[in-house]
Amino acid sequence: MNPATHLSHPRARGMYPRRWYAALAMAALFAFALPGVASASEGGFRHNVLMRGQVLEKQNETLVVCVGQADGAQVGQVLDVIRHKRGLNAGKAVKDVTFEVRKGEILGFAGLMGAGRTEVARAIFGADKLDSGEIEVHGKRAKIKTPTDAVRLGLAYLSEDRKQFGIVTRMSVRDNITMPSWSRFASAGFWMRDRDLAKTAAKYVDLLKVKTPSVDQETRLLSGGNQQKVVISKWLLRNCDVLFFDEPTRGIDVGAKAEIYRLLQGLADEGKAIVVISSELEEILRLSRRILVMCEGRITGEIDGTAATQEAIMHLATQRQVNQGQAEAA
Amino acid sequence: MSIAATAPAERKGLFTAATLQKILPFAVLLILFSFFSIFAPYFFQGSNFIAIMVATYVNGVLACACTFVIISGGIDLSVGTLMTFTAVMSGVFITNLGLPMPIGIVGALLSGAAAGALSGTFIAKMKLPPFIATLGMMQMARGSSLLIAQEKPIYFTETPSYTFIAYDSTLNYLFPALPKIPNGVILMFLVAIISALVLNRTIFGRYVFALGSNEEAARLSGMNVDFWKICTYAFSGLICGVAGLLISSRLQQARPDLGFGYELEAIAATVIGGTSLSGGRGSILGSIIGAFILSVLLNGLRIMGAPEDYKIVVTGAVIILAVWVDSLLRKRA
Repeated sequence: MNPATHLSHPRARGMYPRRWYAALAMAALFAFALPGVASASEGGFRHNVLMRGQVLEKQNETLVVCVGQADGAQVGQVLDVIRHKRGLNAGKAVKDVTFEVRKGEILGFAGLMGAGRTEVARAIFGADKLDSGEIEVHGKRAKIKTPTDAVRLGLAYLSEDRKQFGIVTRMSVRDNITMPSWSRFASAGFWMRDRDLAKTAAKYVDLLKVKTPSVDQETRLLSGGNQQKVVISKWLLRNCDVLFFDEPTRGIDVGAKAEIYRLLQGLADEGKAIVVISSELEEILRLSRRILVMCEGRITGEIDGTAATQEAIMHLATQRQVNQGQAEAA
Repeated sequence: MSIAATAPAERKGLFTAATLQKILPFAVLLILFSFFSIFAPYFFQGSNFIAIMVATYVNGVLACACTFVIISGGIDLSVGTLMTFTAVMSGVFITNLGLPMPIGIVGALLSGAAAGALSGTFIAKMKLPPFIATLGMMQMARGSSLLIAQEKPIYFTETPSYTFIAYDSTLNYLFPALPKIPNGVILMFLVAIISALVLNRTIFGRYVFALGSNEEAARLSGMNVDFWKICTYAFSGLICGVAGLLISSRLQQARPDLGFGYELEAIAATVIGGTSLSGGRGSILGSIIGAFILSVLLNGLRIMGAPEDYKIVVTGAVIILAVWVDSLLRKRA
């Protein structure tokens, strides 16, 4: 199964200007109070076009780079760090995390709970504030302040907390699948073409074998696996290049799990860059070409996917900075 | 595979919570209407129907404004005073500055939208709770109305055609056989239809629902939350502008002291109409029906000779009942 083959239609990406025309018209209407918004929309538009031109030509290029500057030792040509991010939870942080993901690869993020993996993904996606550091997408320095910027650059983040952050439970499957792409389905940037929405959603429901009586079903009535497929569909439809999967199979039964693994592999084969964050070691070992292990906000090591063992990962995952002895004990 | 089996089937039938919530306002209006038709003398009369509609239209328009904001998960306490503010602005543009009427009307509407956008900016950019931000906007709009109008009503005596907006009856003028339904009533239905179309058929409406249902999920889907929030409040302000034109046209003057208490009635109408105060659910049709429920209730009680204070108590009781039923139905859903 190779879903992505059917999905990428070349015009899909160029559709944004319409939405921004609508935004500009709105801004003109409420010109008094909205100068900030108007300028933001212009900036975003230019950004978008620049980024796109480059992607399609090169093969095997680096899609996301976060190059670190750990203790003065520079890696790579650009200095990028996600450093000392004020965490969501007290005392948690992301320190000097540096990595890159390439086209067509699955990069695994392993580590114990609270190692800072989710925080890294959220910071890159613009969901949380980045204290310092730089992100490159398609070889260009990317300024990601909000998820809107990230999505525009072709990044996608599938949260571990599906019900809270992944889907809008009270909205229909149709609206959930199409949500990031709504602007594509708006005539004159405003009127929704509901029939197109339903048709497109139905296509993805078929493609990913989402079990739902109809695309009008409220998403909360679906099972966990099917909800996850809805989330995946919405990013496939949006045609993202870099997908962060945070605990992609949490709360999902075995059958659907295997389906999602196949799906991820298919997406990577299609040339998407995939980052899988998972606490299940088997999952990481099965999927990843490379594995990064995090502990207490730092990357403690990189392991080749084919050579990795659970013991090696656990060793790195417990490698605390202060107390090396604990690693041996584990 | 077990997935299909674990997905709970949607309950079908007439008495699911969702359907109940939709038909309940209709049913209540119907029951009230029949009750007063039987027990209140002179209630069931054409002239009284028009009186009810005239008593409803300002609140109906304000309820449309409230519906957008409440569905988006916020609350707008400033609708009443924004109405006054736009009425005063219209007076300033048309009477004080002597601008042509269309320009004055558009200017008044835009000032309403700008004030709404301002409270939207407080909420989206400064992250203030909507209750506080619009409470502040309510007082600011009231104060600036009083300041601008210098605490005196602005009269539209030099522009008698200003009555056209709400007071005149184009329907009766065009078709003399038809009853004298004022333009204000027609305009309310027009605003309701346009609002319903915007809410249900445009990308803006879709984002309003997404904001109210799960703002964080919408944000993580790449939605520009701040922008659409500001738009929501600006649109609400725009509709308040229509209400301001209506009330000033009906009274032939822009009274800067008016507008207090209107926001509560508008929110009451919205809630009675089945819009959930927690956001994500609601309809324009429901809010219009809610506005009618309130005015039918007041009208009927007045005809039956209930003292004025009595009606206020009943209105309060109806609001409590509506919210209670809403929470009951939400538990069942």
